[in-house]
Amino acid sequence: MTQSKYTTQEQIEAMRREILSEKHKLKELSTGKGTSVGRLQKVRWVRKAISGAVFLALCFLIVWTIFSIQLTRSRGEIPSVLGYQLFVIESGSMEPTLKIGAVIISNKVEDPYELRVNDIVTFRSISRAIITHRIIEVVINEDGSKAYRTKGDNPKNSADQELLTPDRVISLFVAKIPLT
Amino acid sequence: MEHSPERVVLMEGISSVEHFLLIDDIPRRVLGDITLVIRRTETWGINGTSLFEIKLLLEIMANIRPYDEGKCVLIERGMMRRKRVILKHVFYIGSADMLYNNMNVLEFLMFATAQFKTNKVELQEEIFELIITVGLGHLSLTPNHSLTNEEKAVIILIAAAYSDSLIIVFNLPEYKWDKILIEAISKIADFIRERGKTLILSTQESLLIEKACSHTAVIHQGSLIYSGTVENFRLKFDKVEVVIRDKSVHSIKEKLSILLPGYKLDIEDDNLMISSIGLKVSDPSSIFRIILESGFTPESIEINPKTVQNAYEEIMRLHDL
Repeated sequence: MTQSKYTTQEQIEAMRREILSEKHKLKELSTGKGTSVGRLQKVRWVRKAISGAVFLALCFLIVWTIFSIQLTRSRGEIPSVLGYQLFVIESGSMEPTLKIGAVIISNKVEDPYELRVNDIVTFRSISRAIITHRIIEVVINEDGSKAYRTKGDNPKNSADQELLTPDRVISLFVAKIPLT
Repeated sequence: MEHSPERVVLMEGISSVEHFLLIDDIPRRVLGDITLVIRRTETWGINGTSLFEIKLLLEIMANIRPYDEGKCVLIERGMMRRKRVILKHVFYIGSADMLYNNMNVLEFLMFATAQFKTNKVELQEEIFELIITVGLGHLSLTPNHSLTNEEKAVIILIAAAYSDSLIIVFNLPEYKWDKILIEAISKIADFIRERGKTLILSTQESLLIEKACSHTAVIHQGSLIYSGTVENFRLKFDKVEVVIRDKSVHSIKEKLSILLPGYKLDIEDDNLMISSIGLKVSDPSSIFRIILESGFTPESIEINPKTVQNAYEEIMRLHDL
């Protein structure tokens, strides 16, 4: 065993100085002295508090979402998160725009009387089935009321026989979730 | 406040499962009928002729090995004979491999104490100064991989001292301790005692027991032949009262044998050893006075400081007879 493996007195003194300096730093932090170190500590604290709050908010949102979805489903309604609804395309009437199995995000319509041609809407048919089709024409009835003619994008489809009245509109297409 | 029992180890009639196979004879249990009580804050040094015997005793004590007969209670919890479990209140040191080689000594000790929610800087200072106080400053920042096994073991003992285990079992009887490490273990043992813990170590180094332990137990051929305080052990078994050094010790012996009829006189390497016989109370001053009054002026005369080593040799002599 060589002597060089051992810790020297100089190394011990250097370590002592290092510990002492760390102690001074901690003391300054606890008393609020040492401007730059104190400020850095405050910034760290604020950052920590913000990230903590964001994390808590996310947790709350997830829990609340799960809870509200279950509650809405139990009532037989369409669940929505922050005003957005998710639908799964179950038929090929909108192909090639929306393939079977695609998941789409739709937004609740604020004013169903102001929809325009080319808007893709999700609505309830007279037989209460939920359908997503494109508006191809805005029809003004003789009594002045508004209705929409809808059609699936699939070239095989003809326009829907029944006109869509604004009160049956559920939501307006926003986006398709990729890879679905 | 945590309840800390007074009796931390209670062994009653413990016999080991292991046997020694003897040629032309029936096998003998490695340990038989061991009864031992260890109390809180005591430091015990377990000594004996066989490394295997003393190591096995501490393994049973730490609940690492099963036992066959008797009763073993650790901190008021009975230990099942067959079932072995790792106990939270026992810190067992059975090898020096517990140290991480990619750290230095101080780093390892900080790592070992990281679970405690205290001020890390103050803890680091305390541990660093403790290493220096126990005389191991020269190892304080040394990489662990360059330490000897004995040095590593002492560092692990410091980690054990800082742990929350109430019993520390230091079971390395095969290790050879130099004076620096013995001094360090002695100081760490004091620190362990101050923290209300109990240290039990196995060793064949009498000096280690003398320096570090308050109590000792001696095992001979699987049986406990002594258990009690180190002080009592030294006084009871180290019978040598006075040591005389002189060129003509033989002639002095002849003359003193007449003057000191109640004592045994032996010559070892030009040293005349005057020992008491039986359970007589130690009284070296009266021997000293008789020698001086008789007109002898030997080159050197000294009162025997009574060592654990001498006591150990004497107790072994008694049992071999």
